[in-house]
Amino acid sequence: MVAESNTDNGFGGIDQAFHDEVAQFVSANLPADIARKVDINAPLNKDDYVRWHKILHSNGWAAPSWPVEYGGTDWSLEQRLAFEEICAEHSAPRLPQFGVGMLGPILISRGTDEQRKRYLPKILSAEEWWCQGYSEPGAGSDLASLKTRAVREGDEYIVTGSKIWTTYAHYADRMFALVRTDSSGRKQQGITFLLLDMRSPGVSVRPITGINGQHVVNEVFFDNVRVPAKDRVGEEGGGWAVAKALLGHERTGIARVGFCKKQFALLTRISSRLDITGTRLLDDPVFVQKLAALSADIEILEWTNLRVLEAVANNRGNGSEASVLKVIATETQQRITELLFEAAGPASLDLAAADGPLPEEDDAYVSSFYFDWRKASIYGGSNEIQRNIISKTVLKD
Amino acid sequence: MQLSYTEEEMMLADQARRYLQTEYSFEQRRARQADGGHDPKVWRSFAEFGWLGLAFANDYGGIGLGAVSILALAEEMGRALVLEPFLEAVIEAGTLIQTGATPEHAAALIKPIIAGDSIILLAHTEADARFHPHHVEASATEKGGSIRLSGRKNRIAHAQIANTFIVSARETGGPRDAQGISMFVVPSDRVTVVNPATPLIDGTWASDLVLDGVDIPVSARIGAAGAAAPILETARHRAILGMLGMSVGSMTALVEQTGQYLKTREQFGQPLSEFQILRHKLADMAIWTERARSAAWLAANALARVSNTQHKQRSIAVAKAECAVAGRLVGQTAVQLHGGIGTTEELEVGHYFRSLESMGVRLGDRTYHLAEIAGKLGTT
Repeated sequence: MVAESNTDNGFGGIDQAFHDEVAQFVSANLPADIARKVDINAPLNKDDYVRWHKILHSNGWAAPSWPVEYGGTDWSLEQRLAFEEICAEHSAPRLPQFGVGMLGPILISRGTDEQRKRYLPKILSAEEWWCQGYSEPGAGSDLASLKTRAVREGDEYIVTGSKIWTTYAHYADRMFALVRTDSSGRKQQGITFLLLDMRSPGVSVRPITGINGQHVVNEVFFDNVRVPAKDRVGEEGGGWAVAKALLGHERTGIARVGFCKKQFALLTRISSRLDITGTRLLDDPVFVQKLAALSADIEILEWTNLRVLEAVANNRGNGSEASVLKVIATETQQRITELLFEAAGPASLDLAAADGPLPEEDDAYVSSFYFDWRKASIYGGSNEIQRNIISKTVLKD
Repeated sequence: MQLSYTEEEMMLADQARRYLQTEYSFEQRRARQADGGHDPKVWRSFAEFGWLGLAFANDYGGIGLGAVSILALAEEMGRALVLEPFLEAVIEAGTLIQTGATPEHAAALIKPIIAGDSIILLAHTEADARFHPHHVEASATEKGGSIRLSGRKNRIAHAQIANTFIVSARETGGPRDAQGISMFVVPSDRVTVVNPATPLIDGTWASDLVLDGVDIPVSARIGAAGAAAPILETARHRAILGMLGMSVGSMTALVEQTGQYLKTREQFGQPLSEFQILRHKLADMAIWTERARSAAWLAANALARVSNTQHKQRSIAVAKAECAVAGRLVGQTAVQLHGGIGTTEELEVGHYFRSLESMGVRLGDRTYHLAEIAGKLGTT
């Protein structure tokens, strides 16, 4: 059952025509080399992402959550969720969300006409790659204590400071960033939301090698970088509200149920390999019990996701649903990576290469994935921050 | 699929909560516990509200509501830690009769249940069964138009108040064969009670039963000879659903009560709620309660909408296994956060904890249900 599609799980409510249309398009158009990388959690490069983005764009599916007038779809929440799940189950990569998932909705709701006209089409077509400039060396979970300064000079801001953990900054053409324009009041005040060009003089990018040996995140330095004032989103000092609104978008992306099911299928595949004596890891009673518990956890995640999305869609939430979901989702995902690591046995000892030809073994990237995925309980508001939010909700009553 | 209560279901829950708040306080419950949990006045009220007929078909005088309604009502009963045999007599035995008996036989048995005049219990579990659903050593031998039942039934909750038992007994096959099990309606005065009214951890009483060559008419058989296993499973699944609902209700109450306690109890000059380590434990209680709620909705949807037997069995096993671990974490943490007073019988918290652990074990513990899931992993 775990391997079955979310939209075809026997519980009714199946939009079969939609499911078939998405599934057929993805299986017909997803390049095999990308699918294989996704299948075994090998690192994807910019070209992989852009190729798949452009394929989706050719079919009008690059930004399903956007309004139709900006190139989005008129899909329901259920359909958008189903789309993500079906893509994941067919080994399509999850595209970085900075442009489509994060900045796009912000520009649509809070940008100027000029900003929308200038930036949205190139997000949609993947001509411009965006990165997110939030975290700083001194501001991790306490995001509002950020210090990167922007000083107004005529019709420009002069930005000085640095950002860290910037995913794919080395691929990016542009960054949306939170900067400090005033330090006199509360720390949430005086933050401004700016759009800047990564090729501006004074921007430099330092790669950070991750715990798995791969280069995904970076530190970005700003040395008197000039940003036109027309590239400010919202009011000067109103950036915190913009950032908070941004966090409210794309709740459908938290749980990643399709991704979890896909990983479980990989785990089952690795555990089902016969050795020379005809034995499978799947026949080990200790291991299979862990597998059974994990498959139950994934199903609970699926139903929690459905309940949360339904509650939020009907305005019945208490405000901590997304936090509950984030904790359950990331802890389940991390449990999957642990069991993958365990299933690989001695093969988990190999440090995966950062580049070169793709290995043939299914388990070549399990340790890379395991080590890398520790980030899941840290990013997007650490799970400890989420527990603060959840307990505050309980204690409020 | 359905993911939240309809207005009608919320009205049912509201009605139950209002009644239980005034008539089932912790003090009232404590008095009833001293008598094994059953209070005829409370049961009469359940009948008047229509709750005893909730899940029975209209033809039998019931309301004909489905799985989600059972969940809604059970949640409120779990919140109030109700000791009445609602799951055993109405959901489990009731489902068994409705699913297995002929319409005439069913009508004769169900109408008095709905009216609150009859308490019928399933007598199925035996000492060596552990959690095996088909473990039946008790024998049924047909001889000249009547059937002779012999065997022992183990730890039958509320047996002291039943007027009738539905006894499972084997007509053919070995002790754990699915084939060959039948069910028989037996008046309670035909059964010998041993170890009567032994207290259980959840506050109710149970007894062992001995059938020492009890002769009953063939017409006492429910369903076809030797074909009771699927009917037992249907009843078992519905009872598990009810248990999931009660567990979620109990966990919800524990989260609320523990939150209140942290806000009022002061140590080191400040409320306990100021300590982040304690807030995070409270958050974990809330998270696991939501996991259990997801499990309950998974089970309700599986029973209401899934026709594939394997799929349904897996969903129930997933839900029951999850709920057991959630109940344990929430119960243990509630006791821990209440400190010393949490380890006494004086506070509700310990009673919730014991009840949650009881529901974690009954009808299959986590290990049993994980083995069920593991057994199906290769087949998906």
